[in-house]
Amino acid sequence: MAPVLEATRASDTKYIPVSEAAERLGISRNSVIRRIKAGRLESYQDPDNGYHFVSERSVEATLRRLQALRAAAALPGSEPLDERWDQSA
Amino acid sequence: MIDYGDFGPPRLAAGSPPLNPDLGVPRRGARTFVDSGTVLSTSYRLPLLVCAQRHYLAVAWSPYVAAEVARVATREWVKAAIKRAADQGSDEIGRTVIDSMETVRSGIDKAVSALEQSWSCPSADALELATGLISPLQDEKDWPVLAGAVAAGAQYLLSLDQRSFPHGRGWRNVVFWHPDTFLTTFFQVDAEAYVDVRLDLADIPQPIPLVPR
Repeated sequence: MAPVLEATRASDTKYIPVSEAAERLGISRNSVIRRIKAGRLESYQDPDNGYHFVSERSVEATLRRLQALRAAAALPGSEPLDERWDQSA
Repeated sequence: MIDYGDFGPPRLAAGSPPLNPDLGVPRRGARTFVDSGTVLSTSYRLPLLVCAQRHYLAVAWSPYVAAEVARVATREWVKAAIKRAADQGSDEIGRTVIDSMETVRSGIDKAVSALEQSWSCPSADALELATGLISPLQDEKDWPVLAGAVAAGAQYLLSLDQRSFPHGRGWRNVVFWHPDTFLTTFFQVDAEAYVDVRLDLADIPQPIPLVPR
């Protein structure tokens, strides 16, 4: 397991590897990277190896939102998403 | 130049009312009331939920709307279940309906609970006060929807019902918008909200069991 990093000495924010963030969120690693690049996940890039690490706090907040979204998406009897929301970004 | 990230710009579906600058542009934080048809359409329900979760829009509904959503969702689901049983020549259609009801109730409860986390409801007092006004609508059955919007202090009422709530018209401080035109107009000026919606929709499974299979 990759080590948990500290963002800065002034912060107690914990960071986790992209793969772990993806697993917790139930999404692909590419989706995590896309969210990082879009500035939607608080992240830290290791200057030595270039690997990204994501703050546990932002993963938890995103997970709460995605769980609600998934439950709302499963409303029985509702119309499906139309093609404009093509989910392959 | 507006940056939509990895995504193409927001665009209207065929048949939706065209964008009209005379109607203005919904701004961030706009109080927006949704009717049951809007909620039942996944293409509107989910973007509106993401917008509410992230405080781009203040989305409201009412107990009446939620009950209507549950009623229609149950009806559509059970109709589909009966049809499927009949198509398969099942002689246990009654059993199928009962089983289907249990499935659909659970799904509706979870979905409504998820929406309630981010969508507000007007208070009972506000609803009672608004419902006591004289309805301007010809069809009385749509009055609870408009009264709900008034009680919620909504600037916008999103509805697919163009007969009772024609796009661009309004009553008191509430303007009626078609949900597709509303979201497209909003996303064209708020790329940040649009990108958030696209990112989240890309990460939910599709299709969801919308009808029994």
